[in-house]
Amino acid sequence: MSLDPTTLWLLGEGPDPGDEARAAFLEAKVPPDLAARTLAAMAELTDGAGATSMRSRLQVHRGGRARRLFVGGGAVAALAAAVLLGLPTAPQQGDLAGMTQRGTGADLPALDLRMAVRTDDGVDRLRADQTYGAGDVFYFRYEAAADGWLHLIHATQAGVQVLESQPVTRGHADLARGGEPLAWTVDDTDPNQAVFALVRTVRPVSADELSQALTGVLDGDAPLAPTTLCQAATTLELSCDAQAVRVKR
Amino acid sequence: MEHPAPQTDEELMLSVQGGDAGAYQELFHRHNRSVLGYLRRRVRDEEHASDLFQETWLNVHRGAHTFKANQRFRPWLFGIAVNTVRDSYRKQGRRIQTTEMVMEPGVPPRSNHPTRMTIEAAIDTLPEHLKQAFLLGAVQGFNHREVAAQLDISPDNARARISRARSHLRKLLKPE
Repeated sequence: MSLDPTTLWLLGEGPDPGDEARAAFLEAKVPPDLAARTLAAMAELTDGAGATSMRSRLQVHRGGRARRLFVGGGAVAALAAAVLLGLPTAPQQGDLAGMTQRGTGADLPALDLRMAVRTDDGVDRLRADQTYGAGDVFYFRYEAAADGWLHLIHATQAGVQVLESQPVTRGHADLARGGEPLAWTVDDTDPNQAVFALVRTVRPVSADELSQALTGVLDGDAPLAPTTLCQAATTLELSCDAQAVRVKR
Repeated sequence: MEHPAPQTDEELMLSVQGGDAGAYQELFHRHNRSVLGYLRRRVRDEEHASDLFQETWLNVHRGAHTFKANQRFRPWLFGIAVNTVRDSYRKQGRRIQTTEMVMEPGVPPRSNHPTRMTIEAAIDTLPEHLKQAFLLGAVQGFNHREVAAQLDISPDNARARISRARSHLRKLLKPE
């Protein structure tokens, strides 16, 4: 019975079995959460003050009321995740043309934001041509072509706010904290129109720094739309994807 | 349009020393799988390997200033992984087994193993000091001098350990 090429190579009795076979033996797939934890820990070493201040901002209140971005749990979150998993990358019929900006930066790594929504009717993908109401809950999923830091942004005519920042490895996953998907609950203070966006940076940046940078390049006269927000991000050489949401008041 | 040649590991490491977090991420991306593969074989405990994986990369960052411009990055990286494992055992008060043999060389379990052992199972039967040298020299492909530096032994000793490990494995993997 002869030994396989990799074993013979390890015994010093055969040639290098080639990159693929060698890698299959040498390498282990790194779980995304382990990679993210490691990069996050490294970022704390690199820029401890910045990373800490960014985390603390997750608990700040917006306009004097508690932030509604929370960690979803239980069966609903799992259902939302399942819906997001099934979402196609390309816009489906029903998406309003031009409402979804998908990475206009020519050389920027692709970034894709997918959103699901839980309403009284159940969980479905978010539709740009549909209006949502108080109590509806949005969930977020990303697909990133490169490692980096992802920032979830909520933009309205009143301004740009960074809701969440976290290190990710390339691939796709729910935006989550502690293993539970993050969610945004619509309430009666939401404006009629808003944009949720994902922006990728190579290194950690503070929420203030990012929101100020985006605000600085946004065309203040243009109507708020995914396109304008992502064009601003692209100007800063940041990958971006965004979706518009309409809220009934 | 011409694209610039990808930076070497060593160039990236020098950028890390200059505070370039992106360079660190690129190095992490290039080598994270082989580091985890090594650690999993080394400790045979997934959770422990994950802890060591994170600690290794943090130690890369903490020790970046010790990397010298004329060094090769991979041997330096795995030297850090070796030390991280060693420190972990030390902290746990566990001594790395270096002399006891799970299975004595020269006594392959032929009668109990009608089918041939896999290379993975065979590596696990190596005593610790041979396993360390084999994983670095034969599996990761470092030369004797590099293995010697990683394990703090002489190059001759590194060569001898790898040779003895291979001899042990042959007896298990090639009965008759």
